[in-house]
Parts: sequence; C-alpha cells; structure tokens
Amino acid sequence: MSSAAVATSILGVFMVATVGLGLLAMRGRGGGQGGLAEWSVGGRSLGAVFIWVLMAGEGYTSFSYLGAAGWGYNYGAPVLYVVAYMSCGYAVGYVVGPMLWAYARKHSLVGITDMVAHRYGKKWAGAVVAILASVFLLPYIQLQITGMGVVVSTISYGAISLNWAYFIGFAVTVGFVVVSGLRGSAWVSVLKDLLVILTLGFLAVYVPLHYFGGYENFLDRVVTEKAEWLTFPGHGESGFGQWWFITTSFLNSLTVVIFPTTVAGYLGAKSADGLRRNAMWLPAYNVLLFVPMLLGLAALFVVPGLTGADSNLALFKLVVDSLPAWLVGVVGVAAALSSIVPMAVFMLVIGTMWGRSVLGLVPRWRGREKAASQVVVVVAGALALVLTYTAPNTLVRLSLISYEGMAQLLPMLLLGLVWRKLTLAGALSGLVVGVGVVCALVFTGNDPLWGTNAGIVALALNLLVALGVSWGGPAENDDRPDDQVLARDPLSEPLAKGAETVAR
Amino acid sequence: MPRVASDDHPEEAPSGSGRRRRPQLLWLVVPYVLYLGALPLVNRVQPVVLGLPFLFVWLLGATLLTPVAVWLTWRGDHRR
Repeated sequence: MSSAAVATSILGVFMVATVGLGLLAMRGRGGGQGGLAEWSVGGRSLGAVFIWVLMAGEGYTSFSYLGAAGWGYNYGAPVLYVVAYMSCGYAVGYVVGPMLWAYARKHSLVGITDMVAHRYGKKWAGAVVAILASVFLLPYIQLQITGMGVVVSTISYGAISLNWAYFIGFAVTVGFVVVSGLRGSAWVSVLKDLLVILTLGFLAVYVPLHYFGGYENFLDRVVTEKAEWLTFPGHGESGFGQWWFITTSFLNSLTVVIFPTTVAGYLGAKSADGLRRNAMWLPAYNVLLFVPMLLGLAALFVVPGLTGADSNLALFKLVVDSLPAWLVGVVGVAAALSSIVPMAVFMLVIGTMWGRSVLGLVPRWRGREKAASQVVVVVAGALALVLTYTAPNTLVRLSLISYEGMAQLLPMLLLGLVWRKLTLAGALSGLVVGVGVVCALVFTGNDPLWGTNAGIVALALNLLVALGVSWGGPAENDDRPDDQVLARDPLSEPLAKGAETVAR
Repeated sequence: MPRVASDDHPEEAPSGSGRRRRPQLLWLVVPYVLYLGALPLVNRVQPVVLGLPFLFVWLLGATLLTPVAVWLTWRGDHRR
C-alpha cells in the first residue's frame, strides 16, 4: 500500500469510529428521541470529569495544534499571547466562573443569552446576544474547518485537494454533532486529549533529534540564526509588537471567561469550589502550548518558504517529511479530532442559544426546538464553510477576530451583572458602537491599529458609550430588588444571619 | 468558625452591603504582572538559559507560577 493509502485509511477508520462512539454515547439516552436538553447540554447530567475534559479540550483545538505552529513559523514570539491570555484568563475565571455559576443556578439559566435576558428583563435582548455571539463563533468554526482541511489534505499526501478536504471536514463534523450531541462530544474528547498529548509529547522529543541531532543543537541554531523570531515584534513587518501582545492578551483573558463555550463548561460544574480548583491547576497545562510553537520554529529550517495561510501547514509538513505513513495517520487523527470536537461543541452552543433564546420566541416553532436547532447548526456550519472558501486566513487570525467581536459583550454581560445602574439602552448602544468599530477596523485591514489590538479600541469606545447613555439616557423602571438581578461570587456574599449567630 | 474579619480596615469595606473582603484576590493580579507588566524588561534573547532564549524562559516561568498564584488565593479563601 502507498503511504497515502495507509495514512488515509487510518484517518478514515478513526473518523467512522468517532461517529460510532458518538452514536454509542446516545444509546439508552432516548437516542434520536431525546429532547433539546439531552442533545445540547447532555441532559445536564454530565459528571464533573466530562465537563472538565470538555473545557480543557477547548484549550487544545487545531488552533493550538496547527495554528500556534503556523504563527510560530510566520512571526515567532507574538504567538505566545496564547499562553499569556489563557493563564490570565484562568485567574479571572477563579472569580467570574463561580459568580456566573451561582447566578445561573439561582435563576435556572443555561447560557449567556439567558443571563442577559434575565438581567435586563427582556427576552429579545437574549435573542440579540444569541445572534451576535453566533456570528462571532463563525470564524472559530471556520478555523476548525481550515485546520481539518489541512490535516486531511496533507496526510493524503496531496491526493485530496485542500478544497475537498475542507468539505470533508465540514461534513464529518456536522454529521457527528447532529447524531451525538454534547455527550458524544465529551466521550470523543477523552480520546482526543490522550492522542493530542501523546503525539505532541512524541513530536517534541522526536523532531529535534531527527533533524538536529538533539535539543542543544536545535536551540543553538534557533538562537544564532533565527533570533529575529525570539523577541517582539517577531519576524517581518508583523505589526505584532509588545503593545499588541499586552493589549491582546488582556482583552482575550477577559473575553475567554464569557466565551459561550467556556460558560457552558462553568454551568455544567457541580460546585463553585470545583471551578476554583480547576482555575488553580489548569494553567499548568499551558506548558504544553510551547511545544507547537517550537515545532513551528523547527519547521523554519526544514520546510522554509511557506507564506501567509500556507504556514498552517508548517507542522504537518514536518510530520509527513519525517515519519512513516502509519504514524502520519495517527498524528492526523489527533489533529483531526482536535478540530472536530471543539467544532462540535461550538455548533452545539450555537444550537442551544438559538433553541433557548431565539426560536422559543416564535410561537410556531415551540415544541420543535431540537429539530430547528439542528437546522441552525447545519446552516452555521455551511456559512463557515463558505467563509473558508471565500476568505481563507491563518488559524490564529480567525481566532483573533472571534475574540475581538465576542469581547464587545463584556460591558453588557459582565459589567451589567455587577453594576445595577447600567441600563439596557446603555449596554445596547455600547454594543452597537463596539461591534461597528471592530467590523470597520478588521474589514479595512486596520487591525492592529497603531500597534494596538482593534478589539480593545472598540471595547473602550463601547464602554464609554454604555456609561454615557446609562447616565444621561432614560432611566429604567425595573422594580426587582438588586439581589434578583445582579450576580455575586458566592464567597463574597455576607454570611447568612443564622450562620453568623451560630458562629458567635 | 471565625470568618475573615472586615474590621481591620473598616474604611475599605463597601458601605452598607456587608460584603466580605477578600484581599487574597490580589494574588490573581500576579499573572498579569508577570506576562504583561514585565514584558518590556524581558523582551530579549540574552542571557540564554539552558539553550532557551530569555523571553521564553521568563514566559515559561510565568506559566509555572500562575497556578501558584491562584493556589495562594484559594488558600486565603479557605482559611477562615
């Protein structure tokens, strides 16, 4: 058998097994008969371990696997913003996670759209957030389709063209998500994490040995020949200097805690303290993120000359060049799963947001939310596929756009939950301005703007407008007491009166 | 069981809300200082430590210290 046939068969077998595992996960759970809740939030019965696996798994998408190597190859040091924002984000999550968890539990809410609808007492506000959040998740889905395409095309040794490979990635994932739902994703996620950690660990040892005769020589050559890559602003006219790194990491670290998929993980937790414990030791995991970046630097020596979106291929060019076909297949499976699982979770979150907050508003669709949500999922996937063909981009670039847009929800959601005086009119005006500015800057090629992350520029204006309109605009007549509307970290609550007397 | 007293700095307690003070939350600023605040000082290749350029060594160190910072907060929250 040719190399292409071996590697492609291994990938094919695993893809079939993946969908099979998804189906198996749903057996005895009502199968296709289960309602929207079973499909979208696993019937809210997923154990802490599965929820954790899903959350940790989102840190290892094809974005970190392939994208980090690609940007490491293109620019070098700037890609380390990923490590910075994830670590800082976990620290913020220590406070925000339990706060959102307690809020959702108290008022039986299932996501950020619900929270907004409850906070401002308007169902349609939730629908607006659902639509916006879905739009900003599209680049992230496109990212996964692109990643999957790269994998399929490369490990077929070019027999499958990139364009067909994108379509295969889309088809496999949509099929998987429709049949399996969140429970299936959690099952496959375990397999995925194992494979990703094993293959990354292996590559981290093997690549320097194979090409450079060891780490010493590899690092020595990097330091002497590629020093430009090792400090900011990195290689070439990147525009990604220190200030960009600082603004981007700061913005993303705040955004990641309200990212709809992160919140889905928070809400699935059994206790607030479980979330705090996760925030404590998940950051240590980020050490693994240095590996793909180093591999990207190694690729500079081995496969020079990749430019633009082609740098997504950097890691796999190395793999194909140095490993026997069956191992190429295994690494391919790891990378493919690291696209499929997160993409499935993103699509599910979109489906849930629409099922809860948008479709429920239309009387004709009530009772058919699951089918309607699945249609939304397929449409969202198809849109992302179209974007993949019409606006190809590097994986990291796509992730940045997603975060810059999602960040605009920060004042409305996070500030709104702790500060009563923020009015709906204020929050919405800010949101409109913020989203407008992000779109304008990104689509005119002005991101970064003067070395600053465009999302943070937009967020500053967003916040100013939100505060201005809240102060100067019409007052709200919402007569619910503060503790029905605002959220608090349970640890910051004053102790109950009874408990205090006992203590004394 | 004694709880974290808010009596030592009463002027810093939010007025009227009776919210518990948690000074240990300041530990969560540590990763921001290490990754972002210190960046201009550590943006350099030399000195090379164990073959790794200095910027990487620093960021790797920050990655290992972040769990420690979050742990210190957690410990503060659980010591009452």
